[in-house]
Amino acid sequence: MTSKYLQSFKDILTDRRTEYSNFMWISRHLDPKAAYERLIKPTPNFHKEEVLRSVKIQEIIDRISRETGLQKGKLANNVWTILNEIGFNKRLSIIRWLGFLLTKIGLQVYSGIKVNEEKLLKIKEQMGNKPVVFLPTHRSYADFIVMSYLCFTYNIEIPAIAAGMDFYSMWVMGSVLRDTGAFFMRRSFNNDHLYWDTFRQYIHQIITEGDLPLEFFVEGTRSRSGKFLVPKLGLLSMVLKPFFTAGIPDILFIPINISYDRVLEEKLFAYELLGVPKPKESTSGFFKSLSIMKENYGNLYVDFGDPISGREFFGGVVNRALHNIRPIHLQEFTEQEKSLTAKLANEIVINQQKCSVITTFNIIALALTNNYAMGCKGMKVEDLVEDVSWINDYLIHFGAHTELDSVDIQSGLKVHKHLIEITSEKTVKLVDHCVALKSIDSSKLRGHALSQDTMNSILPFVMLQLYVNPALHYISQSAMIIIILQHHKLINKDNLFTQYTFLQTLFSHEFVSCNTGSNSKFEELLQDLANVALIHCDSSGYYLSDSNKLQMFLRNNFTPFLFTYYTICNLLLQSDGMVNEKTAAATVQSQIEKLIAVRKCFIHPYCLNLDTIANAFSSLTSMEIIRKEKVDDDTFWNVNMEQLINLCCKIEVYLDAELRVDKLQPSRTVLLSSKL
Amino acid sequence: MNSNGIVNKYSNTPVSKSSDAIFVKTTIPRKREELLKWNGWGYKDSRFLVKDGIIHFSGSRYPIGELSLPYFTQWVEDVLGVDLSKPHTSKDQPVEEECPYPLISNDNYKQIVHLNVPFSTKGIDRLMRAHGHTVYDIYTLKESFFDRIPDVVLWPSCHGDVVKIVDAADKNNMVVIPFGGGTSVTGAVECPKDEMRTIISLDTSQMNKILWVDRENLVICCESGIIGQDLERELHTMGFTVGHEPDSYEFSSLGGWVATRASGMKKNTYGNIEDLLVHVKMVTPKGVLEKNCQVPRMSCGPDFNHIVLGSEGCLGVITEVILKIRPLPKMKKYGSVVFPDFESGVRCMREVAKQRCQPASIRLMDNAQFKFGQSLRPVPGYFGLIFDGLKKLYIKKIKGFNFDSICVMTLLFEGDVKDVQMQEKKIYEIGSKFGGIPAGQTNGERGYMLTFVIAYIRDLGLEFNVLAESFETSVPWDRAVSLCRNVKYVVGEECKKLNIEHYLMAARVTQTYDAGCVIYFYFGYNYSNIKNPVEVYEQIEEKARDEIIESGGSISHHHGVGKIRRKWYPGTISAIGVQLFKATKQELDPRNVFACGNILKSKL
Repeated sequence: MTSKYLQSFKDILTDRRTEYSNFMWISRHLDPKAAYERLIKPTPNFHKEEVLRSVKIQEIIDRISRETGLQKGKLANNVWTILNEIGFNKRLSIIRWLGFLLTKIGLQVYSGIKVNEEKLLKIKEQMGNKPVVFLPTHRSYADFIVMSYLCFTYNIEIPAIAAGMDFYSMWVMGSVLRDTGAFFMRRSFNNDHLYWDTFRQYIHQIITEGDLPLEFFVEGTRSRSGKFLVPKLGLLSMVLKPFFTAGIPDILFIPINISYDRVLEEKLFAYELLGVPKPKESTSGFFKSLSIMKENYGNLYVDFGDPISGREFFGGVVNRALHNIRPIHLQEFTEQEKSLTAKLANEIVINQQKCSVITTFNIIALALTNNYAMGCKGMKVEDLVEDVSWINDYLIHFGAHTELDSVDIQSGLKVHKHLIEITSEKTVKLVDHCVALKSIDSSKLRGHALSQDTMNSILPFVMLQLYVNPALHYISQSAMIIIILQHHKLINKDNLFTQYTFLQTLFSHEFVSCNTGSNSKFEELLQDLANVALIHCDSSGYYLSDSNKLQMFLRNNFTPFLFTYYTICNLLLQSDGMVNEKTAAATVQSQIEKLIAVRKCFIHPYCLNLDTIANAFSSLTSMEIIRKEKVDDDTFWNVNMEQLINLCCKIEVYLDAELRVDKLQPSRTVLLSSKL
Repeated sequence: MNSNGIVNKYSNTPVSKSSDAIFVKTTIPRKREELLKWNGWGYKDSRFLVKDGIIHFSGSRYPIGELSLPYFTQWVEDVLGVDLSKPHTSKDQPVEEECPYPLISNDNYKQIVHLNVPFSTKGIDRLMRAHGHTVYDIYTLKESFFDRIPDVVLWPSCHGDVVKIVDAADKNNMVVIPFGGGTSVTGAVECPKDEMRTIISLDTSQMNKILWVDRENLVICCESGIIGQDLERELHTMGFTVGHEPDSYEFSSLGGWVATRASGMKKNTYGNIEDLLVHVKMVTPKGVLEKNCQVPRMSCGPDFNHIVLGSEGCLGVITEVILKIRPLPKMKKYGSVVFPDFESGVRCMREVAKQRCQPASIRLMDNAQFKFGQSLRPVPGYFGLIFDGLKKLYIKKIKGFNFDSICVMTLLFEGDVKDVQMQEKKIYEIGSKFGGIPAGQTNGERGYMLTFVIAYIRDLGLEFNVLAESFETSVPWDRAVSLCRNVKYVVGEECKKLNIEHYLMAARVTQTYDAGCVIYFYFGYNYSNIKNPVEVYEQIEEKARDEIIESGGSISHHHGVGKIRRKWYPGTISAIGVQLFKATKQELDPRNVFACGNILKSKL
């Protein structure tokens, strides 16, 4: 039985299952709702022509021509070529055929596509007189297909979607995606000014003169880990610029969350997280992936956050009149606008989090991980049921929309039978995997070459963690408070706040939260924790309650991240102060692999993931503990040892004693060094 | 302070012989209410009224006079949701007893008598000079009463009278608010309600002589109280024109034009008031500000003409102005071009400005205003109807124009026959480059007729719960279209929030310059379900102005700051600018005689 909140969701596949002919539905008359209705509907080609005609592009062509002596006509041709690479198209016949195909696939692989219809209709009502930006989470390639399919179903113009170049080069698929509204963006930030200026102007054009909603992923890329990613600001800034420079009266951002029972790419992601290269998108690869059609992927949920109006978000704070002098295309962001853009990006992710749906399997994964962390090998079904129940209560208390209110873990397990099995003794355990390492081209490894044994044993854990991660935002903040209190026993509020802010800063690239340094959010969190009797407070300060189960659960799900950061800091301490950026991650992995092998206590294999390792380096950079430095052609991390020692000590106290470095033989063999 | 002999209290130019002066017969009598509405716009005999459910326009002063307007009737019902069967009656003209007693001490009264200048303390005289024509002013007249009105009205008849009045006010702690044509739309002539000193309304209407005409240099010297139509009428008989025609020129005065930095419809040919002005005298409590020569231009430090222009009654009284004149044009011709949409129209206007080939006037109405203008045509004859239909068919079917996006550019050409022909050719050529098609003289003429008639519509609206007002701005070319869009959006969203169902939001480009243009917005709404219509209107206009400024527009192009736009003044001119203005005020008017509180709220 699903919870009350989810009961109001509508399964859009239901009508497709029951109707006489999907084809009739696909070919119905369409009069889709535009984001910004124009008296004369702009064509995709019109946008490209306008970009080429724009003052900005004409001036750039003029300048390059003067500087290089190249003919203007030739440069204009270059721009046109770029525009043809970027620009979306719209072919209704393709959309209908694809819609037909997707209906058939969707009916096959999904039990249901459940949509918060009430919210969607409300958003649709708000559309029509301003640019609208759809910002879904990105957990799977299925995301933008789901979004477009949803728009098709609800008679909303299929958005112009920012897509990566890997799709562009796919045979047939590239052009099919383009015809359904995708436009393409190069990823590498090289010095091709002509390209980037053209791209920016294209965004400016479709925002100020376009009629379609725009769609992109504020996280910038698919989250391989299932965790919410720290948002990227590039495209968001481009989209906001016309608002700051008053080219448009308002702009509406719609945070959207798509939660999957089971992600199509789960195995692939697990590999990628460990550094096994991602296969290039190819059409044959796509057809291979059609094998997914034989399996069931359960439900997927689409929910919408409250639309964020640019006018309201920035109103009263940003003075757009600051851009009144000098031409619009020469305007730059003010420092305030830059920092508020970052704030908006965070706000969007926070709102995506708020409308995420926590599936039953997410909770099962949490329970199992917790169980493994406590050193157990398997788990009795009835214990699992019990754990799932109180974890569910905890999540609901912290505002989560969870799938279940009466425990039904069977259906959750069914979809994931390749990962979790119930043995004849009614014990739940991970299914053993056998990885054929030989088939992996070791030259393409991004990380350390993990041994066959390691791979076999860790892969199921990593895959399981993919289902823990979507719920982490309900855990990370509470866990920080808990580990602080576990160490300090009794702590006054100011001190607690300082420690909490320290951890938030340390994990700022790991867990998206808008409340770093915010006192009110901190108070709220303490109140919430007190409400579930996790913590207590009296005149002497804050201390933990006796309820050990939940505290351990929070700690256990947090420790892998803390441990990875700690290990990295220690490795850096043992270095000579200059660490080659290229090999750093692999060295960390190799060290953790060793630790897993020698330590008696449980070290979660997820610690090996490159994602967390990269986040740690980003955080250390933001905290100015390490600094990027170029020597010849190589990039090095220059380490500030004094501060690092300080940091290590601060982290160490929060780890279990047996995870601390002094318990381990000092191992000089994994010394991180520039000479290596 | 002023007795040290350095500052001259009196003008040092010789007084003109009165025999050279032309005593102009003024259109508007001293008892303004005899000719003009006491509580609305314009002539008493000219107004929209409803007869048998159809709107008519009365009187014969305007081309639509005595005509039945069925299309307009329909338009008003459709767009503004008006129920013409339920008119609302407003207050009657107040009798003497209803007006507040004037605040004048016996000493001050003696001083005023002593001036030997005609004056009045009658309620109606004071009420008629207590307001301009903001929506607040008119609504207050029709529904309630002002908190504060002038205590006495004085009618000086020459520069010397003004010097005497200002001197007496300065010495006796009285306030002077200059009053010209009373057409201000910024609250400029309103009395600050907490002003407890005696307020003198200095009515310049009797200072309306043309003091002399200089045919060699093509300039005239006029007293500041002359109103536009009188000035033009007199000059026409001599074969000249000033060519300054703001939409209010039937009633507004020369002094008012200077004090607000006015702009006329035909500024392309004749220039704005600052271009027309050669010399000006302003009487301040410290003396008379003027220059020593009548030259076309000079380089002598910052130009203090620009202290006078736009001073809005805060610094002194403008008494005499030397203006440029031009020989009357031989020919006057209207024209119009329709465009598929507003954006094409703006691009065309921009190109015309780039080529600097603007005719005397060139304006662009947006779709809402185009439709409104179309609705003001009288019942056509049988043939007219067919012809009308055919034109519509041609525009829609043959040219593929959408009736809901179409907009029209109206043109006024002036000059020699040949000049006009050349101008027309050029404009229509440029027009066609942007998809425009000539749409005849009638559409153009109707556009300009609308200019004068549109002001009368508000009074009709107020009879049927419709409040309407216009506001304007200037903007660089590249931001003109987005500014219009943004402002319309903001007004639309505000109306949505306030549950305003029926409203009109229209825009037009009314002037073009090298570097930008002027946008005029018309906003009217049905306030049947609103308790405080004026406040709500003001709230919407404030939001609109905020958006105008954020969209790259100005605080005002020609209406001025007055009291209603003081909020945006410091932001417009910087903190140093505010200090500079305050210092100027402090120097010229240390005792705050000119306490109208325009531009910046004056300290009391």
